Parts: sequence; C-alpha cells; structure tokens
Amino acid sequence: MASMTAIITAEKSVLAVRPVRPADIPHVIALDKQITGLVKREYWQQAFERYAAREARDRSFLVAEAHGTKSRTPILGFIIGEVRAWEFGSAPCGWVFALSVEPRARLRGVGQALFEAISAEFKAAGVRSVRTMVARGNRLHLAFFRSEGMMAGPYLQLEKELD
Amino acid sequence: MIEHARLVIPVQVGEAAEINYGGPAAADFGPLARDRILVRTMTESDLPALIMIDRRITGRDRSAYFERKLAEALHESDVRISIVAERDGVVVGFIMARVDVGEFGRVETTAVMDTIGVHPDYRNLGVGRALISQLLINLMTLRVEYIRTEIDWRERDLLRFLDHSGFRPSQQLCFERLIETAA
Repeated sequence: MASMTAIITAEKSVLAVRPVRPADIPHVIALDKQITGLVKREYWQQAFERYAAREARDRSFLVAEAHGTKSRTPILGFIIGEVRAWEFGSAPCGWVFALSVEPRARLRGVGQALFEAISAEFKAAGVRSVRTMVARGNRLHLAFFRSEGMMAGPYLQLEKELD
Repeated sequence: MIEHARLVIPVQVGEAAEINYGGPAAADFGPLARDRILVRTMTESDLPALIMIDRRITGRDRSAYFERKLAEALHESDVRISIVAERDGVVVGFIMARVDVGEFGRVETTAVMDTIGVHPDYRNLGVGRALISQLLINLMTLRVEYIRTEIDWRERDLLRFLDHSGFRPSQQLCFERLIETAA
C-alpha cells in the first residue's frame, strides 16, 4: 500500500494524501501532542516502523498535506490503519485506529480525504468493511465517523482493569 | 523428593507440595484452575494444534492467520503474550494477546486479547480459566493497566465466560461501514 498518492479534487483540490515519510514523524508527534497533550515519540516511531517502513500491503500510514502551496503546517493530518483478519473471530476487515487533523485545518475536508484514501486502500486489499473504535465521550470523532456513514456494528469492546 | 513416612518434602521447584489453605489468598486470578492445568508459553511446534482446535471451533481453516500470529509472537519486537494450556501432554487451549499504548487514542498501557480458543472436548474443565489466570498474571508483571477484547454480541458462550472472568463493557464504541458505500 506504500505507493499511493491521491490528490483530492473539487473543493479539496489543495490537498494531497500520500504515504508517510520518515521526515513527517516529528510533525506527527507534534500534532498528536497538540491534540492529546502527550508526547509519545517512541509510540509514533514504532508506528512508523510497523505501518510504513516495512513492506506490508495490508498496513497504511497516510498523511495529508497542502498540495502545491507553501503551507505553514507541514502536514494537515494523518491516518493509520490495517487489515486485520480473524482477530476476535472477525472476518477480514480494515481497521482505522488513529486519525488526527490539525485544528486550524478542520472543516476543510482533510479528515474526509484521509478516510477516503485509506478506505480505497482497504478495498484494494480485498476487504469489504472498515471499522474503528471511538470513545463515547469523544464528540469530535463520533461526529466525524457518523458523518462518514459509520454506524454501530455487532462488536462490543469489553475490558478489565488489572489491579 | 524426600519421603518420611507420611511427610513429603519437595526439594526442587515444581515438585508436589502441600497447599496451605490457611494462608492469605494469593494476589492472582483463579489459582486452582491454573494449578490443575499446565499453562506454558506458546512455541512454534504448537501451530498444528492451534489450527486444529480453531478448525474444530469455527469450522474454518485459518492456517494463514495462525502462522502469521505465531510469527509475530515469536519474531516481532512488539510485546506479545501467547500461551497454551495442556492436558495430558496435549494442547487443549490457547490465548494470544499484545500490549498496546495509544491505539484508538488510549493512553493507558493496555493489552489486547485478540485470539482465544479451547478445544470443544475440553470445555467446562477450567482450561479457559487457567489461561486467563496466567495471562493476567503475566500482564500484571508487565505493569499493564487494562486488558480489552472485542466480541460479537451473538457469541453468547464466550460472552458468558468473559463476564465470569471479570470483563465489562468499555467506554469505546465499535463503528463500521461497508467499503462499497465509501467514496
């Protein structure tokens, strides 16, 4: 999945979505810190190693950038996902497990462009559905994924705290 | 082992010893189930048994999935815990889990239990309980704060088992969509 570059058309014509590069990782870390307040260098480095550096057609780590302009922001957002087959007994499907958009670039179709691009990669990998997990209290993500047509599926997440 | 009339004194780790039922409860999960059933780390040679058990449960041949999972467990750098349970020297159940930080925006150190199976002929014998018990001990050693899993709401037997094992619904919602309807 590493060769795709999508230039989004119409009103999103200034957006390009492409595979992440090593030079993007500091910006990914900075964007994540801006949103979560946490610096997770090791996590994002590992994410790069796992989802971008290795040759794996079922894993995607994409970034959106302003296309053909000198933007002050190196990347406008990123999305990570992979095809997971038979985990939790589920038939193969695409999982999106990270999505972030630069706050100043929101409501301009960046998240949608990223989601469309990764959905296309999942489809090319041969799966028919895409899934994600959203925290009940995260209204931003709930609103975004609902607006993209995602709905509650048959899977429940269960957890146990380890004392 | 040294035997003195009716007294048996273990001299090596693993030899039978009298259980002190009067002592304080161990800080673990299900010690009795784990004591009866051998639980050990998964190895490459367990692959045929995993595939066979899974085929008995699901009716599908998911060899490729188990081959990939086992390769990840044994060769990738991620923290994975994969264990099997034995009865009479035969593998009768397994659990695979990985440790994550940050997936789906979570910041706690969380383990994801993504694969579990018990041979249908060995159900209701404490195999699953022994596996979960050992998994939780291993995760606590790694200072993992939460364990989570996902389950189809129609998997009632597994749902009941996880309920009895102390799992509860999380605050995460699983969303999905067919890709054909995507852009």
